[in-house]
Amino acid sequence: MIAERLDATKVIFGLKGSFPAAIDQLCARSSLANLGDRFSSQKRNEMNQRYSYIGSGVAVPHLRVENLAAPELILGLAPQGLSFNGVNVKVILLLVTPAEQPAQHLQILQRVSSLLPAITGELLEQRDAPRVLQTIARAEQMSALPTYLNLTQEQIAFELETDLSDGLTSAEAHSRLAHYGRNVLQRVRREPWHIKLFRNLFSFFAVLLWIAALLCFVPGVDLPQLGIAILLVILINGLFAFMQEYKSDRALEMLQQLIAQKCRVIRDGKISEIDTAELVPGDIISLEQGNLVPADGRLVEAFEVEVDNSCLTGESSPARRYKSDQPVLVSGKFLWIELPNAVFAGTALLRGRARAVVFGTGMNTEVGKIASLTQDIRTEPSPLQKQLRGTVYAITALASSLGLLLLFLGWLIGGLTFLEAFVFFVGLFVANVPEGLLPTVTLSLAMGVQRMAKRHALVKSLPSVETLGCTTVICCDKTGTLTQNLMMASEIAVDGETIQVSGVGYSPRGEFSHAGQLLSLESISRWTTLRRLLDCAFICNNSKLEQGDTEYHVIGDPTEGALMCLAEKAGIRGTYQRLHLNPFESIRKRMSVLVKPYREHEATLYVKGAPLETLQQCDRIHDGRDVRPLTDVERERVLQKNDEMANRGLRVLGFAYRDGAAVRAGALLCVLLHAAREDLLFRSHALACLSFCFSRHRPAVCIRRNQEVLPA
Amino acid sequence: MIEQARKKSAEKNPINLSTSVFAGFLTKLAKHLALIACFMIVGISRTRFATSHVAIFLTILSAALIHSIGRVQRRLLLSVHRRSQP
Repeated sequence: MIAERLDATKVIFGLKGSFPAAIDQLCARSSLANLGDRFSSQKRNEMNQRYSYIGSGVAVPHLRVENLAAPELILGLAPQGLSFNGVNVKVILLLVTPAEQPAQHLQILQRVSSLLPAITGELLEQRDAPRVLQTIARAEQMSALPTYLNLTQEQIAFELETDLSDGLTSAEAHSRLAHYGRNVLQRVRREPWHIKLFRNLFSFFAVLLWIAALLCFVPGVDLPQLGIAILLVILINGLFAFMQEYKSDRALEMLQQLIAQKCRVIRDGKISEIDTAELVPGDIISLEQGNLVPADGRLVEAFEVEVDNSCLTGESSPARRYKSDQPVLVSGKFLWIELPNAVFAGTALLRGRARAVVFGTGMNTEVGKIASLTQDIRTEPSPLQKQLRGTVYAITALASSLGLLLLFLGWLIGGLTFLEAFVFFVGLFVANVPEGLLPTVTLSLAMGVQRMAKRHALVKSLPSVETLGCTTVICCDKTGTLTQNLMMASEIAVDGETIQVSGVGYSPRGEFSHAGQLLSLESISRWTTLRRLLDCAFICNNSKLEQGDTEYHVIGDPTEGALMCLAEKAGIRGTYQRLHLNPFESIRKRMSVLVKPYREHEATLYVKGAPLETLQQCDRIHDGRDVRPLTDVERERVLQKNDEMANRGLRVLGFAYRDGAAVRAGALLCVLLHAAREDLLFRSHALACLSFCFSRHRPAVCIRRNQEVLPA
Repeated sequence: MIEQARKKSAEKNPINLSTSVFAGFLTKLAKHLALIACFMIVGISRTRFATSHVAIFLTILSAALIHSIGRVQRRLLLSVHRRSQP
């Protein structure tokens, strides 16, 4: 994000003098005229200076400029240091962003605020611009560095020029609405109405009628009344076709109006309900359970908030969101949309209530960017369509040539008048245009589709039937396409042993076997680590199995359904009091549940998640007999087993637990905040494998038996 | 499951393939009718075959009507096709 916006000409070494002089030097490298004057004449210069210094000798003076095409960054290095508000600054990044895109401004500001302080020393060691750019690019790619630094609430309010308690004034909101536009997703490509009308008035059929009408006015024919009548027919026919198209477009717009909703916003210190289309950056919105988030916003108040981000991330589990009014470093590589204190348009508030300050509206929201991308997608014609088009062009060229030849032969040799010869030409042309070709091909494709349907292959798009014949590699979404979106735990790796689990789909009937021997429920119960794993699978679970008419199905997440089914097969029931739940989040990549078993005084923390991330939180291991420190060799062995399972296309989960969390208020809080961070026991090779149940029917895509199917 | 999907698809797509072929036929027929009308007009000028103005107008009118029906059917097919896209 930063390296790609910097170039070698915008890196200055050896800045000296006062801080304002250094800013002038940086501004001189800008492509914008009078940038230095704009910085110095900024109304809120003092406030800006306050937020310009971000620590560790780094300053990021920033400005939003109207009608700027793209953000501009200029980097200055001052190894000797420059005095700025009493602190010594060695790295200055001048940031200029388009005023129309506050979300992008905040995004870049957050990124540079977290990145630059971490690499200040390394930057100052560099002697040429390409190496500086390489250093920044490498730092951006390294997952170990913090990706975003959350700006403080005051800074967000300052950048968006709003008041977090009273919101915008109505006058300011109206002014911003005119500036930023309405908060709606716009259709990027739309044909103007006059082009549509022209196309309908001059289609191939209409041209034939135009010829007929013009013939009526030709001397010798002299049928002006008929000509006018035909012209009227052309107009009525064209207008009718145009109205049909226009109505279908209007239907889309009306649908959008139905989708548009009201939202509660704080303006002039009062809560009012407005159309979401009138939201502007800087507005404070109030959200409650069940509300759809109308725009991208930063949480300024949040109480027990959980959001459904599935439309952006694909993650079906709810994600917790909270306000953070202090800078919080979030380590690791993750997406902007996973920031824990931001909510995004199109997502839904599943739980809790919140207030957020809007920073992105309309096409500048994350969902707007997706809409923009999808509208840019052009459908590539299939090989059959390309060949058909080629054939039609060839036949049309042949028909035109023949028609012209016969036109001149008839006129010059055959004794026809030019008018007669011309009509003959048109007739020949119309007769030869292969309009019947497409229906014929469609019919033959449809017959192929029907034959495939008899073999249980459902084809949605007709041209894909032929395209499938030319296919060499199929990249396919698996879940729900090749598979039935059913999962089943098929293998458990525990204590260095592998246990096979039999069964079909979500049916809670199946057997556990180890080294070819069936395991009884009694022996499963005696196997301490296996029993713990099954407890964990049962407790870290929000799903429910339900028996239908013919088969079981799961209510909730399919992965959790498979684990619930595994626990049921082992006869795990249990009575637990769930004290706290940390739901699965894509940042943490794990779910943890604190429970207190019946008649026991101490709580136990169970964790389920991605094997690597879960293992990182563990420091001890249960080897079936004792609990002992987890060594690097054992970690490596667990990871090898994980890789071996994953390479077979199995989804692998890791399980861990911690005993003895005393259930007292103070201790509980400590447990919750540091849940799954330390003191966890990772059961030796405690990995459960989920295999995907392939469709009992033949999959939609037929793959020859000698061809390999590789999981991506 | 696939049988159910087929049934659902058939329920959602009431317009069958004959509609597609019929729409193409109507469009083509309309163009030929328009062409015949052109011949009739030229015929008047050559006085080879005299046709009444009303007959020419009715031919043009029926061509426009048939073309509209064909276009409506084709549009319906397109909308059904778009809806059935994954």
